[in-house]
Amino acid sequence: MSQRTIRRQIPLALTFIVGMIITANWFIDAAPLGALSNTITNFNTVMVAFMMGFAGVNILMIHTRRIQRNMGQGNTVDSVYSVLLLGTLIIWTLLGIVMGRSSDTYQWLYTNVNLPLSATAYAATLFYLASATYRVIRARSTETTILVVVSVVVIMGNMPMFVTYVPALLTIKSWIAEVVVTAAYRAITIGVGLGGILMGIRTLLAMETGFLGGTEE
Amino acid sequence: MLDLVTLAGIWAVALYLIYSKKEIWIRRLPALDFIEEAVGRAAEMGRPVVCQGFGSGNSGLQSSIAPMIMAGLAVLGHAARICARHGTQIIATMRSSSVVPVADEVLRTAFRLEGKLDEYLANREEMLPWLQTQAAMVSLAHRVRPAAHIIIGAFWHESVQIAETYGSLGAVQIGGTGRLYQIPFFAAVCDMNLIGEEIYAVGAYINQTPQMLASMATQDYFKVAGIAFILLGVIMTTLGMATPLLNLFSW
Repeated sequence: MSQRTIRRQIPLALTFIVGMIITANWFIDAAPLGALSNTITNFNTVMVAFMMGFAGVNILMIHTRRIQRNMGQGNTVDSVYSVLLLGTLIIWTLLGIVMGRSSDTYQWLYTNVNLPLSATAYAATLFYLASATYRVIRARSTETTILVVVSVVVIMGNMPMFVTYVPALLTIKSWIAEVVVTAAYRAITIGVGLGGILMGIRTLLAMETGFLGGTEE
Repeated sequence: MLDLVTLAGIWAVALYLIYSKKEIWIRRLPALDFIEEAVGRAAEMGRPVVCQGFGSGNSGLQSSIAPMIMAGLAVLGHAARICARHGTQIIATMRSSSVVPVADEVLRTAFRLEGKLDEYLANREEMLPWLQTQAAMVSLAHRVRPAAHIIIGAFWHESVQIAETYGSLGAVQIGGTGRLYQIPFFAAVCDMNLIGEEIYAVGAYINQTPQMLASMATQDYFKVAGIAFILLGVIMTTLGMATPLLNLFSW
């Protein structure tokens, strides 16, 4: 079997067959089709697990080589991060397999290590938002001037100290959010929905091959 | 029933246009044209290009954001070929483990088509680190200081944190997402943007085959139909005759 058949034709044929079965199952209420669709969905879950294994091996390889290279160059600081990452990966994986994800130790680590770190990273978004807002709120052209004016009105409409003295701000802010912004969002939603469907059709017809690395010209 | 009729209609129009071989024109997408320029800038500065997307949060190819991930992968393939041609390093990052093998295949194909497969295989681990938490992406930005950052796919709150960091470090940014609430952040922080459904046009725009362009035209026809229904709805509601239309949509 040629490389082209293995790398292009078989994946594209499988995409078409599997895609058509899943789509048909959405619209047609037939027991055999439902069973076939369930089998494919289960197979997908197994495949995702294999892919996670692939990604795990990938990360092990990357950081083992990085540790070797950094130690060779005397760069111990960067090596510490890689060692920490690999250590954490191994500890979490072993704990999950040996003790189970619902065990007290696993849950304690999740609640006291993972959650605070995630919350910290999430909270830091505030500072980036402030920085991005500063970058945007500069009147450089007609469009950005309109943006600045609208932003200032909305910000003031959200602040009780301004709304108390100028109640109309609240009405204007609500009108902007409910009419102008909603209209724009609806237009984008319709476009995204149609775009997604058409992309699905192109993928099933083997026209969209970006996920295989593009066309082979 | 209406969803089946609509989907069948979209299939029918798409197939008709694809096989009728009509000449179809689509407008320019400056953000996609800009990729070549951004990679050229990276080549001149001797810095890498970071390309990310391919599913944020914990979702991957098995979720409803799969079309956005695939759009991001199409951009990755396009950017990787330009990078291979210019001899610029590309770093592809992703959150979901299910996308890693697919991105690997995309990069492998892109470098193979440019006759530089050996270069990819020798640097594969550096080009394909599996990380996309906001902390890892911020750290990567400070470590490699990329000249260009391509961020196309599905993103949540971390979009602004990541894009703002890369922007403040001087990387030119091309952003795009179909997720409504992240579009304003990209518009604010990125130099070039793909808004909403534009990210799905990547494959068609790059290849420009009549079949691909025909499918884009289908999208526009149905958008016009959508506008017509909205106007009809406004008129019928104003006249107090909206019931038949509402019955049609609950069919």
